[in-house]
Amino acid sequence: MDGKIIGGLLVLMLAAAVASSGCISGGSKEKVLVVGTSADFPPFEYKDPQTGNITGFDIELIKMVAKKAGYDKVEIKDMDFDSLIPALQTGKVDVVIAGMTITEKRKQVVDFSIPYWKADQAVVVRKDSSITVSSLDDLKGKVIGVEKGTTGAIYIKDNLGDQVTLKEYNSYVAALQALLNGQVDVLVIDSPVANMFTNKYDVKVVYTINTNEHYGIAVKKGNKELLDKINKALQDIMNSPDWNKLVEKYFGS
Amino acid sequence: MSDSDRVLIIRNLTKRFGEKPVLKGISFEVERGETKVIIGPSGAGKSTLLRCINRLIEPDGGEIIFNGTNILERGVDIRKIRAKIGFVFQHFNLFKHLTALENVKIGLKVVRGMSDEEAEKKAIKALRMVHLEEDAFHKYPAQLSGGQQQRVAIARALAMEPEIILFDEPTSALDPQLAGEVLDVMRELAKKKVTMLVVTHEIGFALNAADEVLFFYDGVIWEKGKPEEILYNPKRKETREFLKRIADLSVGGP
Amino acid sequence: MITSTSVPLDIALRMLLNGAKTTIVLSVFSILLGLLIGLPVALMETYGGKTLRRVAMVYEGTLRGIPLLAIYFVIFYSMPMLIGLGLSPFLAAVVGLGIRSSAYQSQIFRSGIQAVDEGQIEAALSLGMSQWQIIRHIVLPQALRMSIPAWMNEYVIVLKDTSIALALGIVELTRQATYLVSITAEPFRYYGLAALFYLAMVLPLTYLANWMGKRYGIKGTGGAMDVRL
Repeated sequence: MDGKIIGGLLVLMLAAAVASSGCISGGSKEKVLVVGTSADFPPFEYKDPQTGNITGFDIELIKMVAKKAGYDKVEIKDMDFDSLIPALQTGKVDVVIAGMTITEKRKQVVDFSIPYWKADQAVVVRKDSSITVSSLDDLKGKVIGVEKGTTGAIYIKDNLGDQVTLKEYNSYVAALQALLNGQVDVLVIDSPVANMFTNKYDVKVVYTINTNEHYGIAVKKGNKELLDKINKALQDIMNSPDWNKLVEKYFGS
Repeated sequence: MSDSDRVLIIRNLTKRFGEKPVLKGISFEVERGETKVIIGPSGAGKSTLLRCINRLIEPDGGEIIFNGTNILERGVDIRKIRAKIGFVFQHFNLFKHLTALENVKIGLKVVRGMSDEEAEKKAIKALRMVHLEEDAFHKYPAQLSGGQQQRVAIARALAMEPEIILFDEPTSALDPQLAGEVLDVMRELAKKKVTMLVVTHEIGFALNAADEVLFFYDGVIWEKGKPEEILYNPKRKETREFLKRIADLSVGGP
Repeated sequence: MITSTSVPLDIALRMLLNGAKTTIVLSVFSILLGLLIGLPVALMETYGGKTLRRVAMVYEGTLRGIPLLAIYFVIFYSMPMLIGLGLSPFLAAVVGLGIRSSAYQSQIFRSGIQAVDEGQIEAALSLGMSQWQIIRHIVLPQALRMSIPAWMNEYVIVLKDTSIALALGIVELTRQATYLVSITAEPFRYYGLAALFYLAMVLPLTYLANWMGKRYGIKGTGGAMDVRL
């Protein structure tokens, strides 16, 4: 039974190893920008079920940026969000675009482009809820759900501390479920994400917190050359009608 | 008597386990074609003695001269020697994943390098010698009775055509009825002048089949002689006491 | 513009199926790598001299003590920096999962080897077999067969742990489900479906294990080959 089968499989494995660890890429000298993202954050990046391609606002933006910066092609590498910065640091990707908020902590390990998106936090309640919020103080005393590790979570902790009961969830989906189940009364999550649910679920956005967060494109620390190219491209794009078209496409008007 | 008639010469064999000396200077000889039986109290070291002969256990001192060679010397190819010494164990020790026939064949194929056909022929011959039922040839040890297993073990030893076969209490793990069939086979082998060194409690077998009986006691060969002498007329007190105890235990006669 | 829509079932199933294929391929390569390393390590630890045994024990202990994710990160990120050897995500996943599995498999095989009773070894020695011949003809045939149930269990564990490879960017079953969940905000449906897929991959293995137990088990021992998931 054993010997031959194992021997055969070993050969198969070696073949697969050779095949996968880098097909000698085609001779033509294409300039490829390797982009890291985490395709679980619509509408910025997500996987289109119909085509199987990773797409979204960030993706289309980076493609435009790459073209303007003189690249022929863009290669999208999807991975876990937490793996993105290590990937950048070890050179597995050239840039990261992933709805990533520019923070002091992150600036210590990567360099960011100029901000390309202002992100607010939305305050979301159940549709039949009587909670109204006209300022941050109105949140005091409430049971609030957030996604662990996000800027929303940090913001609430910093500004309201123990004046609220905070429940953290591993994903915004779990937080949404908690809201629907009544385990929390209020959600504080990224606006674009909130807008995604309001159509489908019985929830409504009652307030928008201006947290002054911005998304940026990240490059490896010290990669000034690439950063300059990206910044120039971004500026051109954001001042052109292409930008408005893109925003409208993904965020309506 | 020339040396070639003496298959095995043990001289002054000693072995201790930690502080406890088990073999204190064993000396005896086994001639070709002889059936020699060793009797003695349990746990005294008879198994150890047998295992020293094919160096499953390394003795501390003395000489073991097998077919003219002292096998305790350096540079001896012990595997070749072992292939010429058959060993039948108290608990059979058949290879559980092999059928009876395969058990007998494997030594021939792996150690003697025989082809499958050759090995099969010799194995069948050996199995016939122990009168194993034909339908048991392709059965696995777990499917055989104790008596059948032990007979297969004997066939396994026989097939290698050894110079001598060592038997370590071959029937002690068998109930009397199954023991009988094994002893019958051994008696036949003795008649055929297969050289055998047998450690056993079966006095009946010793009487019928042995050419000489050795009484092993306190690490040495305490007394030895022809079966009738030792068993009916032992000279030493300890021998007498041992036999008395054995006689009390055994039910019926030989 | 994407609103949280429902994804048509056939498309969702297709995505999950692709993920399942990746999961299976990943798990098969990993378990085989684990076997190729695990068996020799088991032999080293049982039959080797002092140094070999120590090396084997350290190898096993380290890999069993570190979380799989950490192993992945060392292989995928640290290795290129330390020794300049870069692996593709798929290969890194296979190597990581494979060497971790090898540490557990070597234990499994060692148990199997030690279960072959000393008496059989004595008999084999008495026939004149060498240590290697005994390992090859007497010990391994029995040890491997006795290891089948535990080995199948290990395969199930490896299959389930392939989901950790999503940290390296491998799009296996769980990652595909996450894509669907993030678009539709329907975790129960898609993680639920993914769970069914996992179950579908694992249940046949129980039958396979039992079948193998009957076919290759040592006859007459009639042991219950119990694969617990």
